[in-house]
Parts: sequence; structure tokens; C-alpha cells
Amino acid sequence: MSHRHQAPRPRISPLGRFARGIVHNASFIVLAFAIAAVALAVGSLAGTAPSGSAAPAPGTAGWVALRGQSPYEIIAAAQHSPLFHVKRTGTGDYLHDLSRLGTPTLVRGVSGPHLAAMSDYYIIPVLDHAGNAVGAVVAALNPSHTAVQVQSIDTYTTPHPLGSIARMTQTQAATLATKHKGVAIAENVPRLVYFAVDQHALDAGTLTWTGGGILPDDPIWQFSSGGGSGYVVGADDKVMPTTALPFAP
Amino acid sequence: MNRSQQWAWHLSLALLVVAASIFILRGKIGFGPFAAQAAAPVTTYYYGTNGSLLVAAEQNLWPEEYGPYCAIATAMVVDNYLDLLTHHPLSFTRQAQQLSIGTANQTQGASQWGNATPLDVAGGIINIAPDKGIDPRGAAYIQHRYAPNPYSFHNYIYRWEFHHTTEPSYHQQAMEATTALFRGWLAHSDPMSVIVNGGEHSIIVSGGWSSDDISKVFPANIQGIVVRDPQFATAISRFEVSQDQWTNHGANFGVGYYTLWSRYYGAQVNQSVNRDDPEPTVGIYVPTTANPHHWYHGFSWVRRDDTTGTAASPDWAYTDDGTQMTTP
Repeated sequence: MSHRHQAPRPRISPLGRFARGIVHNASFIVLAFAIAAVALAVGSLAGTAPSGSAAPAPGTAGWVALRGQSPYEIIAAAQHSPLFHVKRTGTGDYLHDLSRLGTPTLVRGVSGPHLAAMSDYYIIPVLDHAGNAVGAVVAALNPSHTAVQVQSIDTYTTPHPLGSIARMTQTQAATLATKHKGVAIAENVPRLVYFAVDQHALDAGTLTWTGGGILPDDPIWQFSSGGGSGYVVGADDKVMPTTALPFAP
Repeated sequence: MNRSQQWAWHLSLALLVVAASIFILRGKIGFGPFAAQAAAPVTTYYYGTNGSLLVAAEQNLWPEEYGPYCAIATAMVVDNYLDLLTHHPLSFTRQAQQLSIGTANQTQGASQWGNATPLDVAGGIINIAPDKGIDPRGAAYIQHRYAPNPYSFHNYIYRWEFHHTTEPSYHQQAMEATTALFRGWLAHSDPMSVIVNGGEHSIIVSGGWSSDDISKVFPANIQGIVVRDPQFATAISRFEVSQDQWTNHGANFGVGYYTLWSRYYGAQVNQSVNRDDPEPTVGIYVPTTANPHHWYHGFSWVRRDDTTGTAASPDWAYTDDGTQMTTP
């Protein structure tokens, strides 16, 4: 009678068993990884349209969060706009140099008596070599002033001296306000505003308006007055109560 | 190693080769995040006019006169631009000539089908719709009438039915229309008079940028549209408008009125019908039960083309891809 000698099984630690299991199943682990890799590659293909045909979702494009309210941070956010990254060499109809930007200025929207609040804006002057504002980056602010969306980059018909965005300086506006409404009004610190004009009446020719303030980058000065909505000084040198502006109905 | 392990190794190897090939391919042919990172910012191409020529063409003609003279003001710039291109003296040198054209329109320029009534102070008998201003046919007529050579100009119309059997999103329609507008510059790099704000207003669209070959991609990705507006010319001579503003929002002034191509021709801000800019009431483009829209639910602009003979008449409207329209 013979007995097959069976050598005693070596004792294997739990860690060793785990390692052996890994080695034994390595091929299947790699297979799982390979399947995942193919799924990732195919999935990314399906989710990525060719550049150029991928249009942004309506109403969501272009808002960039502000990291802060400093000029640097406002400009940095605005520069995310595709308009800062288009070709500006050659002879086309556009501003050719956006390399010099002035200090962003807050322009408030003044809605009419029947309207919801209008957006406020940061207007960033586009400067020439001499520091004149040849245009402006028009960046709408969200209601909480935490994000901007570049609406357009505009060119001024006549460059504004000293990088200003308003056609009239604050000093000039204060002088006119003093003349028409007294020192008490003019001593208030004014703010730059645009208002909700009756655009339909402008198109139809039933409204004549030369005072500016229709566009956020062509703002006018508004002086506050005790308890009221204040006075505005138009680009045509006229001083009037804010309520007298030709608002949209 | 048993057979199932061998099978797993071989299959893994094959799948990894496939995955690697896909990733490499994405990088080479230029789409997807890898390419975007390498190519940022996106390369764009400008289509449109020469800026210096356009400034010269517009000199002393704007702003728009008080009243519905926008289509006249833009037509004058288009024709002056052609004067400069062809070395002719400028046809127009004074803002007040907007009024002169409006006066001439009261007695000259009716379509072959007659004119709509009542007459408008600017449009007169050149309109085929009772427009409170000038309708797209009238706009094409003015540009043709005062051009330095017998160039042909037509009202081009985009409606989604020209391209699809089912209606795509509004945004896609607006992008397709904008791409079609841009394609006009492949033939002639002229300024174009474009009807915006639901039909209420005309502006010059002078150029724009796309990262695509606009002749091949439809709709193309468009980064910006360059606009000149006679109404704001006293303060602002040019607007470089983002695509999002052009098609989704319009500019945030005029209380949602200044919507550019964020609403169809014939639609008001609240989507009710725009009674200032109605459909034709005379001629072959009067809407019918079978063809309920001509300008409405679409986008309109005027551009120069190379049609000749009877097809050159500004009476004809064309689809955005260049087909002469014989029905609304």
C-alpha cells in the first residue's frame, strides 16, 4: 500500500491570499479597465460636436462670475468674451486694438414707472495711445452684481477725452445742475445712468430725443434730491427731473 | 493561465488599442477638449466689409432723420459703398437726402403688382405691405434704384421650412439665418441692410466672425456680428455684438425692444403680432391658406446678387439659399 505523500500546505497570510487573488484575476481587472476606457472615449466623442457647429445653449452663454469688484477682476471676467478672441488684424470693420482698457465704470439702469428693474452695467473704456476712449466694452451685470456678460464692444462716433465714457464730465454736469437747480442738488455725488427709452416712439419718429442716456455706454449724470428720484443732465445740456425722461410706456 | 484568462488578456489588449486610437484621432482631427486646449483661443475668420471704406460711405449721412427712415439711411450707405468700390462719385453726401428719397418714394418705384395702401411718409408707393416705414421689397428697390451700376438687389428670406421638415429650435433658426446672411459675403463683401427688432428697424450688418468655413458648416459657429445703426450714430458708430445677444437676448436697452434677431420678423416682444410691419397685401407674396407666411416667422435682409434679366427686378424675393420665390 502506498501512500501518496502530500506535502503540508504552506500557511498563507490573508494579505498573501489577497495578492494571489489579484494576480489570478489580473486579466479580468485589465479587461474591465479596457472596457471603461473605450466607453470613455466613445462617450466623449458623442458629447463633443465639431468645433463650429456647437452653438451655446440659448440664454446661458456668456455669463462669467466676478472674483471681485476690482478693475482687474472686472476686466479679467469681461475678457472671457469671444469678442476678445476674434481676429482683429486686417482691414475689417471693427476695433483693431483692445490692448488698452480703462477703469470700468458702473452705470445704473433707470427703468420707467411701469417697468421691472433694468440691468446695471460695467462699461470698460477701450483706449487709444493718447488715453482717449475710442470705444467701450459693454458688460451687463446680473442682479446681484456677481457676474458679467459682454453684450457688445462698441465704437464711439467721436473719441471721448481722458478715457471717459460719458459725453459730459461730472464737473460740467454739476455746473449745469447748479445753474438750473441750485447748489444743493449739484453738491450731491451724481451717478451715471441710462434709462428705458420709448424705443418704439423713436423708430416711428414720434419722439425726438437728443439728450443721450439711451445706451449704457452713452450714459448721463443723475443727481439725487431729497426724497425724489432726482434730476438728470442730458448730453444736450438740458436739466430735468428723472421722471420727465421719455420712458417706454 | 486558463483559457478564460487568455481570452480576457486578448480582449483587453484589443479594447485598449481601440480606446487609444479614438483619443489620438480626436486630437489630430481637431475637435474635442484636447484640440480646444491646444487651439485656445479659437481661430476665427472675418467676413464682411472694409472698415475704412464703410466709414467714408457713411460720412455725413447719419444719424437717421426723425421718422421711419432707417431703411433709407442704410440703403444710402450701401450704395455709397458701391460708389467707392467702383470709383464713382458718392451718390449721397447729406443727411437730408433721406427725406428726399422718402419724397421720391411717394411717386416712383411701385412694384409690378402695384403698391399697398395707406402710404407711409418714407415708403410711399414702393411698399407691397402697408408698412409703417419701408418693407423689405421697398428696401431692395431703393438700393437698386440709387446704385451706381444696374446692380441687382433682393430681399432674402430665411424660414425654417426651406431647410427642415420639422421645426428646429428658435436659436438654431436664428443661427442658420445668420450663417445664410454671412454667406452673402462669399460673393460680395458689401454692407447689408438687415431688418431687426421684429421688423421695426433696419441696420447695417457690416461684418462678423466665424470659427467655421461658413460655406460648408450650417449653421456655423459665429463669435460676433458687426452692426452699424443709423439711430444711434450720434454717439455710437459701431456695435460688435456677441452671438448670444444677437440671437437670444438682443441688447438690454429699449426695454427688450431692441432685440436684433432674437425674435422673428412680425413678432413683438411679447410674441404678439407686430402691426407696424404687416405681411404683403398686393402681389404674389400675399399669404394664403396654403402658404400662411412670407416675411413672418422668418428673417429678412437685402443684399446684392448677380441675377440678370427679369429675375433682377427688386420685386422678387429670394430664399436664403438663392431660390427665386414664386409663392409666399
